[in-house]
Amino acid sequence: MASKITFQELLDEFSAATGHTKAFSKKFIKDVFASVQEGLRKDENVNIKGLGIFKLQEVGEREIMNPQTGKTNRIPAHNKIVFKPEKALRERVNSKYADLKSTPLKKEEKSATTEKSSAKKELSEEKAAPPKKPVVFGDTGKKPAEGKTSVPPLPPSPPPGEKKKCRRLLLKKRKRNPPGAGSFPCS
Amino acid sequence: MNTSDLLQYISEKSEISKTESKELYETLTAIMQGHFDNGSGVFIPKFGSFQVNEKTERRSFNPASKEHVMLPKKLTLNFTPVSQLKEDLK
Repeated sequence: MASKITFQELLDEFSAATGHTKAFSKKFIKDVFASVQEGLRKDENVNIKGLGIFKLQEVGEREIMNPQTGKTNRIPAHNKIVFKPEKALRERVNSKYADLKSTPLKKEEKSATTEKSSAKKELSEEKAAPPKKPVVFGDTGKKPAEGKTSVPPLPPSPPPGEKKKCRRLLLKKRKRNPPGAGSFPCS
Repeated sequence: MNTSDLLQYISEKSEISKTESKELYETLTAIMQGHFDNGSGVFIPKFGSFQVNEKTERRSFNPASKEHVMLPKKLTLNFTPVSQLKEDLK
């Protein structure tokens, strides 16, 4: 997948296809892309058939900090080169997966995927933030009971990590819309 | 700059007729596209490399309809300029 054709291979193929000498085809290909470069320098925008659009995009000045040394550095404003393949080429490249379509996620799937991702987070968060626990307990004193009453046919024994996650989700929901009588997020 | 401007440039540089330069240019892009079809990239010295990358599937949310959607994986064509070109157009 990640293989790359060298310039030599491209040359061989090109000279075989056109019947020109290698020296000529080498000069030709170099000329093509040198002209693109020239066009970029002149108009900042090169729109060519068969490939797509080459553009210069302005990047504003910004400061970066080296996290190891703590020093700040200033990157001056500059242009960067952006390439957008034309539509036909984009579709051609993606032809292998062209018949794949986006699928709407059902509720069950949604919770399944979020559980997976948040289960990973859970591990790191648990270690990282133990001092938050008392707040969680104080706040969720009523809510779990509500959830139990409103949704009786819950699976009997969710793993311990899951309960905590549910509480956290509840807290998040409450923060966003405090008056709401939101349903239990895990159900 | 568009395709005809480019062909003008090329024919001046390589000292060939415009029609000939057009033919050659089209075969060049056809060859490159053939490689992109196979998923392999093309490197061009003093310019940059074109490479096909695979993007994994991802979840997405449409805020207007409030729908969660799983977008499928796809192949994209990317271009990375060589540092020489980057410096030149800075």
